[in-house]
Amino acid sequence: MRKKVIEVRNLVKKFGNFTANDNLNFDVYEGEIFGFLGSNGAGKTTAIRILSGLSAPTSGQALVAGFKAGTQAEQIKKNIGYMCQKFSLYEDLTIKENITLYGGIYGLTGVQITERRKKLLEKLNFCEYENKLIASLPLGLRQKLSFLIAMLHEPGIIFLDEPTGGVDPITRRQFWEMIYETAALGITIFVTTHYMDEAEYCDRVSIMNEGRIEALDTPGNLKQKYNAGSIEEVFIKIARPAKNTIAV
Amino acid sequence: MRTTLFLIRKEFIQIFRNKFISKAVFAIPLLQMLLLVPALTFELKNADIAVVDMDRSPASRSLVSKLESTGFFTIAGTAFSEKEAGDMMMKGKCRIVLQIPPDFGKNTALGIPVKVIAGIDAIDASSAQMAWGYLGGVIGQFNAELVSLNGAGMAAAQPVIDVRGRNWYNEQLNYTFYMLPGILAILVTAIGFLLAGLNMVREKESGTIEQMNVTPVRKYQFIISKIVPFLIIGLIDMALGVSVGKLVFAIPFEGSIMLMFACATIFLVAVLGLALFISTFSDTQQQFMFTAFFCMIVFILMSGVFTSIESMPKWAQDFNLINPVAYLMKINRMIMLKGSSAGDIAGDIIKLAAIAISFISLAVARYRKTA
Repeated sequence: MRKKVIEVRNLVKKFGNFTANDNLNFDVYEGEIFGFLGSNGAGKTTAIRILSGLSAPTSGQALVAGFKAGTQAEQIKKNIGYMCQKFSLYEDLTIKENITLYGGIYGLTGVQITERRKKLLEKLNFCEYENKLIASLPLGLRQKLSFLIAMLHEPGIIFLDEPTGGVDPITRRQFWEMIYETAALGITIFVTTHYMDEAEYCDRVSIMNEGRIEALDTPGNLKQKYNAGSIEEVFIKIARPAKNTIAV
Repeated sequence: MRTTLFLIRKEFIQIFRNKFISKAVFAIPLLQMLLLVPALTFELKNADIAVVDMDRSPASRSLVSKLESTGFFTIAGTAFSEKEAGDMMMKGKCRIVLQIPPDFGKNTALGIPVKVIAGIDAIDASSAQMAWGYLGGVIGQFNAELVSLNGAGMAAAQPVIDVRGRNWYNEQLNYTFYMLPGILAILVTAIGFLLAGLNMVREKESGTIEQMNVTPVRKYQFIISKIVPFLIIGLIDMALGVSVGKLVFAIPFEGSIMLMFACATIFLVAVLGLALFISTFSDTQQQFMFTAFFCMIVFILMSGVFTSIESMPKWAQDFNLINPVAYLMKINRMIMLKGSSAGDIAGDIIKLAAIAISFISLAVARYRKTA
C-alpha cells in the first residue's frame, strides 16, 4: 500500500449560492502523477487553491502532506510547491534574483541557494543567462523555469495549474520529461491540463464536471470503461451531458 | 527576519530597476519644493487698483501715489466713470476700485470731511480682507498727515496708546518659512502613499502576489517588506527637501533635525499603513489611485497647510485628530521654526504613533493570504 499524501473527504466549497466543489472525495499517492481534468469552470482551480492553502473549504476535509486545508494552511505551504496558471515569477527581476528570492523565502541557506541555482540552470542549459530578466525569456522557458523554482525547496508535492498553456509542442514534451523525472524522485505531481494527450501521460486521471468528480481511474481503465479510444473521447462523453442540461 | 530581508532586497531591486520611478522618487520632491514653496503665498502683493479720480487735484494724485509706493498696490488704470471701473473689475483687470470724489483736494484743504469709496472684488474673501486692511491703513495714514498739516486737532494726532508688536518665530513674517515645512509634509505624504500602495496592487494585477501567498511568507513579513523601502525613500526625500529649504530658501532650522526625522518615520509608518490598507481592497491600480487621491486631498487640505486648523469648524478639528498629515504639518513647523523639543510636542508624537499603529494593524488584518 503506497502512502497517501493527499486525502480529500466530502470537500465542499461554495461561493454564495454557487457550489464550485460539490462533495469531492479522492486520494493521491506519493510519487504519483495525478491528472486533474475538467472543462473550464468545472471547479479545478477552486480545488487546487484549497489544496495549496490559498482558500479554505466550506465543509469537508482535505489533508495535504498530513496537514488540514483551511486550519493548517501555513504548514501545507511549507511542504508543497505551486506553479499557477498565470505566470508568476517577477518579470523585472533576473533569473538569478528570482531564484535567490524564493530560496530565501523557503529558508534555504546562501550556499544551498547557490548550489541549487547552478543545478537548476545546468538542467536548462542556461548557465550563462542567469542575469537575464524574466521578461526577456520565451514563454516555454519561463514555464520550465517556474516549475523548477517551485521545486527549489524540494517539496513532497507539487501543484501545477495548467503549466503548459500556450506552450509549443516540443517544449510541452520537454516539460513532461521534467515531470517524469520529478515523479521518479518520489515527488507527487498534481497537474491540471486541457491537453488530453498530456492526460494520457498521467498515472491516474480524474475528470470534473460542474463541481463534481465524474470519473477517476488510470487512463487505460477509463478508456475501457467508457469504450473510448482516447482520454479525449472519455472527456467529451463525460462533459457533454452537462452541456445539454445547460441548454435545457 | 532573514525572509523579510530577502523581500526588502527584492523591492529595492525592482524600484531601482524601473528607469522612471528610480529617478522620479528623487526628482519630483525637488521640483515640488522649488515650485511650490515660492508659489504658494498668501502675502498681498501687487493688488491691482483702478482709480476713478473725479477730482484730478494734487491732493488726489498724492493719495494715489502714496498707495502705489507701499508696494502692495499696483495702479492698473484710471477710469473716468464708475461704470468704466466696474467693467475693468468684471474683466478681472483690477481687484479694487477706488473712487475719489470731486472737490477732494479743496475740501480736505478746508478740513471738510470727504468720502472716498473703495470697492473690492471679494471672491477670495481672505485676500479681500487683507487688501481692505492695507487700504484702510494707507488711507488712515494719509488722513493723519492731512490732519497734522491742517494744524487742527494736534492732540488727536497723538496716539494715547502706543502698541509695539514683535513677531515671534518668524520675525520678518516670511511666508516661505511658514509654507516650507508644510510642503515638506505634503511631499513625504505623496511619495509614501502612492508608491507603496501602487506597488502592492501591481503585484495583485500581475499575479505575483498569488505566488507569494502560496509560500510560507508571514503576513507581517510581507507588509514590512512593502513599508521599509518606501519609508527609507520618504526619509531621503525629506532630507532632500530640508536641504533645498536651507540652500535655496535659507529657512531657519531651530530645533533638532533628528527629532524631525524621528517624527517623519512615525508619520510614514502611518501613511504607508493606510496606503497598504487601501490596497487590500483595491483590485486595480486605477481603483487604488482613485481612493488614494481622495484620501490625500482630504488629508492635505484639512491638515492646516494653507488654512489654520484653529479657524476650522469643530468637526473638522476633530477629524484632524486622526489626520496624520495634520500632525506632521504642525510638528515640522514647530521643530523647524520654533525649535520645539520632544517634550513640547510629546502629545502630538504619542497621538501620531497611535495612528501609525492603528493603520498598520488594519493593513495586516485586512491582508489575507487565504481567501
